[in-house]
Amino acid sequence: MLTKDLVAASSKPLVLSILADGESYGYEIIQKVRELSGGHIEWSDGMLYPVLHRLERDGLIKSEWKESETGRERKYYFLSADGRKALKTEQHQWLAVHNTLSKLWNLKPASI
Amino acid sequence: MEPQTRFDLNTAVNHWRTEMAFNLTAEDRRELETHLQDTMTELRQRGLNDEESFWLACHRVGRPQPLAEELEKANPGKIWRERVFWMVLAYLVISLWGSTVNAVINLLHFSRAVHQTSTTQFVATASHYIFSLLPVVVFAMWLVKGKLSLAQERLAGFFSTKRLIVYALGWSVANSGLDILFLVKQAVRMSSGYIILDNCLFQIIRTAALVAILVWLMPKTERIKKTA
Repeated sequence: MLTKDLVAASSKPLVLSILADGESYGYEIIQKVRELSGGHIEWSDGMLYPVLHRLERDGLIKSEWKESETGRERKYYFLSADGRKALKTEQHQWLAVHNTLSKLWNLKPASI
Repeated sequence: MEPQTRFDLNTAVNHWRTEMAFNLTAEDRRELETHLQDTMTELRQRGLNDEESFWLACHRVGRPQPLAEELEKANPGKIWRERVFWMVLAYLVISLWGSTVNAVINLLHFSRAVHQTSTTQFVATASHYIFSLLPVVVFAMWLVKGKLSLAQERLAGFFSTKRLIVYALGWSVANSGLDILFLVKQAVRMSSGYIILDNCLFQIIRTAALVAILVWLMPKTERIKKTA
């Protein structure tokens, strides 16, 4: 399990990366993170929404209410142009950390 | 044996909604409710019953107070903006309704006023107060029955668009129409028409000012689309 600080720091690149694959809503984003991390990253459900709202306020993502096939209305989020730029910056920063640690730990470095 | 109280999902969700409504904006509450419903659907598919899936889903979504604090940090002032919006809207509806009641009673009262007695005077005054307070009573009943958040949602759908301008101004012009009708009937006997005309003008200006504040405070318009 990740520490609280790391969960907070990684939520932005994780949300932006998931939305880069296409629009999604809160519940689905949490499911995806849980699935992709193999259960190592567990977000408390309600706390994702402040993250989403902050990203929306900063103009990195946008939202829209839509009706799903089941008839349930959901608030869908999608990436804005600024969000794509922010994602690129995040990628560089996280890979810089990742590559440095990989070298120190004699692991194979990653590239974009 | 004592009969067990049955768990009613609708009542439970309603209660949750009311609890959330005090701390969150209507839109945030709605977003969290779809999350709650999605979680319950998943848990039911895993074999949990209504009651178990409801409580577990509530636990996962979190308590209203810490959620509200985090959401407030993400978007400061949003909840206050919405609260002020509802207060101004309530004031607008109550004042417009009050003017309508006043105008109608004036008209009815006047048509029977040839032989005015203290009884008709009393009936007119009493009915004025009773009907003017009607929206307050309806509002209080919603609050008591815990239906306020649902009513709020319906009203928000109705008023949170620019249609509000047309309805409110239309209503206040109609009120003025009634007042002028009264004036026309009354003018035969009295010449205090300026007061009524002044009132009409004041009412329209006040409505326009309130509507301008509401439009400024209005929550972001939501478009509902069907997914392809």
